[in-house]
Amino acid sequence: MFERVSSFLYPAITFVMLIAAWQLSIDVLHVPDYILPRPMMVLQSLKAGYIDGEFWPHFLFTLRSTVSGYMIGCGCAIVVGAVLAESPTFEKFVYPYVIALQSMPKVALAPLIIVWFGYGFASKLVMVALICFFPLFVNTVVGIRQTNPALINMMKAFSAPSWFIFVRVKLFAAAGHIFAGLQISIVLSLIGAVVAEFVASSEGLGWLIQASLANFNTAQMFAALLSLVFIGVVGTRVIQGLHSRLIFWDRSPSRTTAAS
Amino acid sequence: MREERMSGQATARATETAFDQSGAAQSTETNIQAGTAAVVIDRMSVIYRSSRGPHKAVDNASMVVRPGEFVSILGPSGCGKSTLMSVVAGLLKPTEGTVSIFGERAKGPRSDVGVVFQQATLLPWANVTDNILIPIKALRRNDRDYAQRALELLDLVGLSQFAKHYPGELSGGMQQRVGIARALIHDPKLLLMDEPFAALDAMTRERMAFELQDIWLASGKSVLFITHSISEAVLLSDRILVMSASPGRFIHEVSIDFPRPRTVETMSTSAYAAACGDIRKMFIH
Repeated sequence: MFERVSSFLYPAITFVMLIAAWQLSIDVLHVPDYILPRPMMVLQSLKAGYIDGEFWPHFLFTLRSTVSGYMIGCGCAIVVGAVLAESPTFEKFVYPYVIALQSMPKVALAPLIIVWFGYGFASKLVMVALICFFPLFVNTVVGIRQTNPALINMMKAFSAPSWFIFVRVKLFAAAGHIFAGLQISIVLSLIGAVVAEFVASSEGLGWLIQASLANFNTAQMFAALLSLVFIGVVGTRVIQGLHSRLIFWDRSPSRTTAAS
Repeated sequence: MREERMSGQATARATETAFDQSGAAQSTETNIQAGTAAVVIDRMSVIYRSSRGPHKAVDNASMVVRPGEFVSILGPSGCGKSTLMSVVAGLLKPTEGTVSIFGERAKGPRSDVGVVFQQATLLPWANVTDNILIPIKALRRNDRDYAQRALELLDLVGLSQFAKHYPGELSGGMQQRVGIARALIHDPKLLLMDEPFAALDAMTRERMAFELQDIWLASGKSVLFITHSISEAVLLSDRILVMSASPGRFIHEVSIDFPRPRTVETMSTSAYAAACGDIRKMFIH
């Protein structure tokens, strides 16, 4: 019981203290609104955005490109990762390029992607999918490769064909790593969407932040940022929930492979 | 071939045969002609090639397991007995020599062989019943036809109450029992056991040995059992093949003919102690 209460109460205390410190520093240091808006102004901006409704199209645009790009990128990552992990020949063909692509900052591709896919939804989707791909791809390969060889040996001794070993053993063994990759990709997908909107867009929360710059509407920037945080937190929670529900046999903390 | 008999009590007698390389090959030759043996290993060598040069894991090994017989291979760690087991299980090709199972040259894993490993190697994401049914699914047979047999095997290994439990919820001994049930589900004629109790504590280990004897007596299967426990080998085996360390070769063959079922009382007879002692002397000169 105490665990449950404290898990809500303690962060709430931190929150109140942060807001108080924020408000206090503005009052004491006389920070102008355009540099740091008052908490109340951010709240008003959120109200104007979501109750009066101006933010909804932007919120939904970013949500849509993030979710669909995430699903496409992650789907490709798992499939390509599985093929590469299973086929040493395929690996020899593509591995050097995978390394090269991985070490490239994907956001630097944003202008090129805009040129190829236009100003609209498609370029955002591609950007998100691209940036989601690599961490999950790497985790899938690592996850499949680290399957306990004793389990594979056991399956072979019972005459299991390799597809059977892949489906019944390797995919399950890799599941923990795959979920860790899905977790990383959630955050990266938001980065991808926002960067693509920064570069060229007429919609989205990223665009909203950019547009707020024109009249130094920092309260609106904060409001848009909070919206992005909301998407990120909900997404992370969903993946965590799926992880603990589906991967019930592995209670070890999720291992992450750093990649971005 | 030299043969010497060791006297024991009227009910218990152990026969030891020490043989040289040519003798081993010769004794196998006669059995190949019989053709019905569960396992025939004929002058088999396994050489691993690594960056540090070739390593001979098994050297010119010959042996036979007759139908229904319980044969143990006893040797120190790293003597190549697990390598030998991998070859019999069809997971590894011998560098020289041949392995035949039920009269057929071994080419790969076979559906009439069940294997129990040193680690239980259960799938952590599958419950006990599904783990037991793995060989059935791997052989692409209909697992519904084997549901009843799975229940019987669960009963045999004393885990009826744990059918829907996951491996993580079981103790090491229980996991290994699931491993044994899994090896029996497809009703193999030959059971290969690679140090199945090595990961268990000493007390569980002894209890499991007696359970294995009961299972074996009830099933009548041929068993090739690998162990580094002298006492375990003497308790369970009809015959013990003693292996020397690297490169692994058979140096002695010991017949154990204590009556079955062997019990805790058997283990406290002087004949049992003598049999263990004689084998111990083969390792400690």
